[in-house]
Amino acid sequence: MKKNKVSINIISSFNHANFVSLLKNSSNFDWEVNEVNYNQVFQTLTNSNAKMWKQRSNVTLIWTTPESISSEFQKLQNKNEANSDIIKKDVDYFCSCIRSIKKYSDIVLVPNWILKQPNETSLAFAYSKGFGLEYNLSFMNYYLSEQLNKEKNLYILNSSKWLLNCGASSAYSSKLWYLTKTPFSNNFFKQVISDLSNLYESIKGLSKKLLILDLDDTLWGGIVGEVGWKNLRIGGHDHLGEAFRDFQIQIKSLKNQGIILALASKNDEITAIEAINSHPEMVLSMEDFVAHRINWEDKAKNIVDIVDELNLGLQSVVFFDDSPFERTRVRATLPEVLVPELPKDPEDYNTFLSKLRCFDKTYITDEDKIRGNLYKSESKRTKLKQQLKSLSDWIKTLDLTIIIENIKNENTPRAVQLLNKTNQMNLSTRRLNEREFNKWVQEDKNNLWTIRAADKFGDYGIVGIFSISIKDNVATLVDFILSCRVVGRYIEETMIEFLKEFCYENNVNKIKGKYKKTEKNSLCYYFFNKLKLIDSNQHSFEFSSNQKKLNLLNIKVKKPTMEKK
Amino acid sequence: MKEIVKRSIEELNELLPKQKELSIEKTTPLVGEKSSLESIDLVNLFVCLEKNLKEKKNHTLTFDEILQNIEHLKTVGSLELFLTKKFENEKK
Repeated sequence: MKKNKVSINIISSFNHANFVSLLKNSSNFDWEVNEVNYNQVFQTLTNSNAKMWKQRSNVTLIWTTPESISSEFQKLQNKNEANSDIIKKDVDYFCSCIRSIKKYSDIVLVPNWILKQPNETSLAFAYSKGFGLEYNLSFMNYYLSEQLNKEKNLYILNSSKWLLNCGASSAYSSKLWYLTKTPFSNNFFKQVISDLSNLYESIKGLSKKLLILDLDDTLWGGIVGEVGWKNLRIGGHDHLGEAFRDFQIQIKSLKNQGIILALASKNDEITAIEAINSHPEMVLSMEDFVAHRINWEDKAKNIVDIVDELNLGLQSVVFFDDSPFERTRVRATLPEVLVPELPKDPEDYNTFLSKLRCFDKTYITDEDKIRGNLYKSESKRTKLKQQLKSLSDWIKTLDLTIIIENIKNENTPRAVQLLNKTNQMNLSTRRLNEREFNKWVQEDKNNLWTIRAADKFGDYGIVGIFSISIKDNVATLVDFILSCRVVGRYIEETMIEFLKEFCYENNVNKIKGKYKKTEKNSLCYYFFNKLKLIDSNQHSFEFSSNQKKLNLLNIKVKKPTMEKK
Repeated sequence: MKEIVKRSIEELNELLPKQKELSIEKTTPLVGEKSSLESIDLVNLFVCLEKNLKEKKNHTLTFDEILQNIEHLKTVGSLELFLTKKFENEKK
């Protein structure tokens, strides 16, 4: 499979050759590395004419050691007293340099500071203000995050976590340090690369969305069909029961961050649901699962069914099952699904899950918090759809309301998320960060709207955005984006109708646009093809704002003011 | 010793571009004109060897020992032989 290209600038205060070699050989992305020699940190950050900044990159990684930023800190390593005010000024200067180059890449990553080699100071001195390495290192990191945490598209990475996961003895290599000035081992770098890939996927909206779980010996200890729900091991004064309960607590917290949950279990459905509803120590309830397949069928088939029901792609799915057989079967049949190798001991499940970076997010929107409910409604809608004969009959029963709004500040994070995450119903697949988005929206000629939708099953939240740019009384359709969860409910037709009305009211006669084909947006092609605007030979289109109206069934539409900016 | 050298070369290969990867055969050159390894690659190979010898056999190897005679590093086979002899002698 062809890997996505990601350009990365690397600036570091130590030899990063091994890191770059491992990065180039890593499997997730095709990393295009642009680096400067090590120990050229300030020279590069303060030189806006440096070659590195000539071309905008996806990522800039600025990786330094504390003594390379503050010579005052260096004094501590020689057991001399350091002045924390000077250290603070050094960090301030470093932060101001970072701010000055932020504009040259989509995101900037700054691993926080750890020591370049282990240095166990005297226990009593560690947290002394004047002499303590640990005190001053903590202070530097605290102050770094205070200074930078309000910067958009800039993330401070937790290096201590890599150190902890590797173990200090295998994270550092004194040989590599003395021979090549590389402070960290290749195992350490591999962890960083894995986290970097996951973080980038998360920022680009490629992180996993759906966690499908088995029940017996995965969410609880024991086989419910054999021991009965009262004898399942969850919580209580039981080490294994506590481990399963903690695992459930963590899964519930994932749900609260917008990860949707489903069940795929080989069990008798009534018995399993009775256990979930009746066991007093269960943390998760049936309400937490948007879909379930509890039966004796092939789990791979059940996963496909769940994914279809929720209108998601298999690449969004993570499957947890204690059975190696089921894991192997799903891996072999559905290679797009991520099937982690669960530890043999359930007491390790919780830590294992916490180390999986596939659900990582860089921010949580209001839609994320209620995503489970949105998909639950989606599942009910799909079931109703199956009972009805025609699509239009089905739409009519939904009491669909669509709210079109001019873009507002509070909706910007969600709009940017949709712009960067939506692949299928996306006309141009334009990707912008929040700063670029705001800049574009502020231009007088540009108009952008968000789409909210609700029906009798619940509120979908903001599901789409669309935008035009007007010049010489001609509107160019720039973005036409709708979440695939709601495609096929006449929302897309409503967006077109609104555009026509808006343009007509503002004496804009023509609306033109171009379908930009990607590997994933054929859905968008089908929609514009259905409207007879494009075909396989012709991807540009043009239509009049007073063209005959489309049939919008009985959908209620709330519209904003029709005045252009 | 064969296993330790094999493991170390596999670890080194993780760092090398595909076209430079070493095949794990006795005749594969490590230094000299026929070798494609650069000095940083040799350092990495040495660090991997040192780590694996410590982990698997609790043996210690220093960089100076290995550099005493560059002939030891001529091929994968000569490296294996050098390490086997060195630790056999130490046992005695």
